[in-house]
Amino acid sequence: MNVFVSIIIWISYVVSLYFSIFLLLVYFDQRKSFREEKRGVEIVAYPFISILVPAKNEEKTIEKTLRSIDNLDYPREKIEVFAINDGSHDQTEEVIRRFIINKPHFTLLSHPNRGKAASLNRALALAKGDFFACLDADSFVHPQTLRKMVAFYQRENDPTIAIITPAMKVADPQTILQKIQWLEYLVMILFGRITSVLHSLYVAPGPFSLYQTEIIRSLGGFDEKNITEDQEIAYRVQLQQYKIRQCFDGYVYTTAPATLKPFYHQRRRWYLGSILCLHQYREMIANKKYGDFGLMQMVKNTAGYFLAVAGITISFYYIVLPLLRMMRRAAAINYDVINYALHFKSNINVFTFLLLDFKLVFLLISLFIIGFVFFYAAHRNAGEKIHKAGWFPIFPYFVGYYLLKGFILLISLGQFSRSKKIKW
Amino acid sequence: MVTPSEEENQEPVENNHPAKRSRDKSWRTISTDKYIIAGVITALIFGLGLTLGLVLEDARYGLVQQVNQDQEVRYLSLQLQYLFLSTFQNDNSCPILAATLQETIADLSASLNDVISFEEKKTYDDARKLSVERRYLLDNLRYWLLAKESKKKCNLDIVSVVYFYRKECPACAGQGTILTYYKNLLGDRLLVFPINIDLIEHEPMVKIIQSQYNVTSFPTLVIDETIYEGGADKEQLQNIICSSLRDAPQCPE
Repeated sequence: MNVFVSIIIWISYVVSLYFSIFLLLVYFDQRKSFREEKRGVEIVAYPFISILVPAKNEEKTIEKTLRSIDNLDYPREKIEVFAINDGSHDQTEEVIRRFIINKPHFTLLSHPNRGKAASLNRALALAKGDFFACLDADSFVHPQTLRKMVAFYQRENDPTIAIITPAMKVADPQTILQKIQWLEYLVMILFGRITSVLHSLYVAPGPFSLYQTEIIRSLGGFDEKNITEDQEIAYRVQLQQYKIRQCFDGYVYTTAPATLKPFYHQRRRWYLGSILCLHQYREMIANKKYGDFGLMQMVKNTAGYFLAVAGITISFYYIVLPLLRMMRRAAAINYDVINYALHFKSNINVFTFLLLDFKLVFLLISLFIIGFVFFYAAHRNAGEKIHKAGWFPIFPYFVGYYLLKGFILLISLGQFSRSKKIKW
Repeated sequence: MVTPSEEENQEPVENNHPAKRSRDKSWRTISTDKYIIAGVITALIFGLGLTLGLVLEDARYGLVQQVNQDQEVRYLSLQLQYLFLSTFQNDNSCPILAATLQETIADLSASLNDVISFEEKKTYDDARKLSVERRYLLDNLRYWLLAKESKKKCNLDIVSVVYFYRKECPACAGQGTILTYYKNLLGDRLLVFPINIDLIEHEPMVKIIQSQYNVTSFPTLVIDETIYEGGADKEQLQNIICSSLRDAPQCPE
C-alpha cells in the first residue's frame, strides 16, 4: 500500500482519537453536574427581550415561526418582535402583515434585499431589549425556551455572558437525509454542552441564540460581509473575551434540508463561512490567552479540515480505486458476473480474519466505540430515543454521512484557497 | 434590567468600547490534566493496537506454516500414488489419483488467493513473506509437473494452464479474472498454476521455467505446451480450453 496514504491514515487516526478521548474525559468529568444541572424556569425579574426574525422568501414557514414566538411563556409586555422582510419575492410580507394585526408588540420592517446580517443590524438599532434573540424564519422556538435561557443567565449571574445558545433539533424529520441530520443535531447538542463547559462555543446558531444587546452593539453588530454571520459573531465574542454558554434544554426546532441539493448548498455555505472565520481569527489558534478555546477548539477546528482531506484521500484509496479495479476486471469477462455470483463460495475462514490489518481495525473499532458512547449519551442528554426516527438512518449516519460532509468540506476548502489566491 | 446593575460590581470601565472592556480572561480554563490524560490514553490504545497487531502477524505466519504442512502431506500422498501407478502399471488407481490431484490443486489455489491478498498488505518481515511466496511457487510447479505426467499416464481429461504474471503488469488483473471465470465454470477440469515472475531473483526455478518457455512479456499463458504471449481474452481462452477438453458440457458445440 502507498506509504503516503499509510502515513495520512495514522496521523488522522491519532488526531481524531486524541480529540475524541479528550472530549470524552470532559464529558465523564461533567456527567454528575450535567445530571444535577437545574432545569429551572424561575425568573427573578423579567428583562426586556427583543426578538428579530429576518425572512426572505419564507411565506411557507414564517407564520409558524411567528406563532411559536407568540406562544412563548413570557410576559407580553416584556417582548418586542421585529419581523424583517428582506426583499422577499413571495407573499412573506403579506403573511407577516396579516399575522401582526392586533399584536402591538410585533413590528414589521421591510426593505429591498440587503442580506441577513444587515437586516439584523437594522432591527438591532431599533431594539429596546436588554437581550435580543434572532430566530430564522424556518425555525420554531419551544414555548419554555426563552424562560429557560433567561433563568440560566440569572442563575449564572455573569454579565460577561454575551451569547446564550439554544439546543437545536431538527423539526419533524421526514426524509432519510433529515433523519440523519436529526441524529447529527442531537450529537451536536451534547458537544455544545461539553464545549460550553470549556467556554469554547464557536457558533451562535441562527435559530434563537440570545444575545446581550449592549455587548453586541458595542462590538459593532453583525458583520454584513460575512456569509455566516452567526459564526463570525461567536468568534468575535470569543476574541473579545466574552462568554458564550449553551442552555442545554432550550430547544428550538429548525427545518433541515430534505434533499441533497439544498443540503449541499447549506453545508457549503457553513463550511466556507467557518473556513473564512477560522482564517480571519487565526490569531486565537493554539493561543493560551483564550484558554481551552484557543488550545483545543481552534486547533480541533483547524484539524477538522485536515481530517476531511485525509478522509477523502483514504476513502479514495479504499473505495474508489478498488471499485475501478473491479470494473476493469468485470470488463475483461464481458461483465458476465453471474458466473461469479453462482460460484461464489464464501471463503471466510480464520485466514481471512487474520488478513485484516489488525492495527487499523483496532483503532477503527476504538473510534467507533467512542463515537457510539457519544451517540448514546447525546440521545439521553436531549431526552430522545435513539430509534425515534427509525433504526435505519443510524447506519448511513455512521458510515456514509461523514464522507459526504467531508466531500462538501473539501469543495469549500478548494473554493477558499482559490479565493485567497485571487486576493494574493 | 439586569446588566447595568451588575455592571457596577465589575471593575471600573475606563472606556465604553467593550473591545477594551472585557479584557479580563481569568475565567478562561485550561484543562491541562485532561490534555495529558487524553494523550496517555491515546498512546495506550495506539500501543495496544500495535502490540496486538504484531501478535496477530505471528499467528498469521503460524497458520501459513500449518497450511504448508498439510500441503506437504498431500503432496507426498500424491507422489506416492503416482509412483505406485508407474511401478505396477495399474490403471485402476487412476481415478483416485485424478481426484486427489484435483482436490489438492483446488485447495492450493484457494490458499494461494489468501496469500496473494496477504502479499498486498504491508508487512514488517519481508524475509518471511518471501519464503512463503517461494514456497507456494514451488508447490505450484511440482503439482504442474505431476499433473502433466498423470494426464499422460491416466489419460485425464484436464487442461493445465501455467500463468506467468508480475505485479507491475496492467493487463494481469484482467487475465487473472478471466482465468478465475473459467475456473468457476469448469471446476476441477481446469488447473491453473500461477507463476509470479517477480520472484526471479530469489528463486532459481523461476529462471528455469521462464527460459524453458522463453517468456518475455506478461501476462503469458502456457496451455498444454503452447505459448500464448500477452495472454488470451475471454473468447480466445474459451476456444483454447474447449479444443483441448474431450468432453465439456460447458463448451458450446
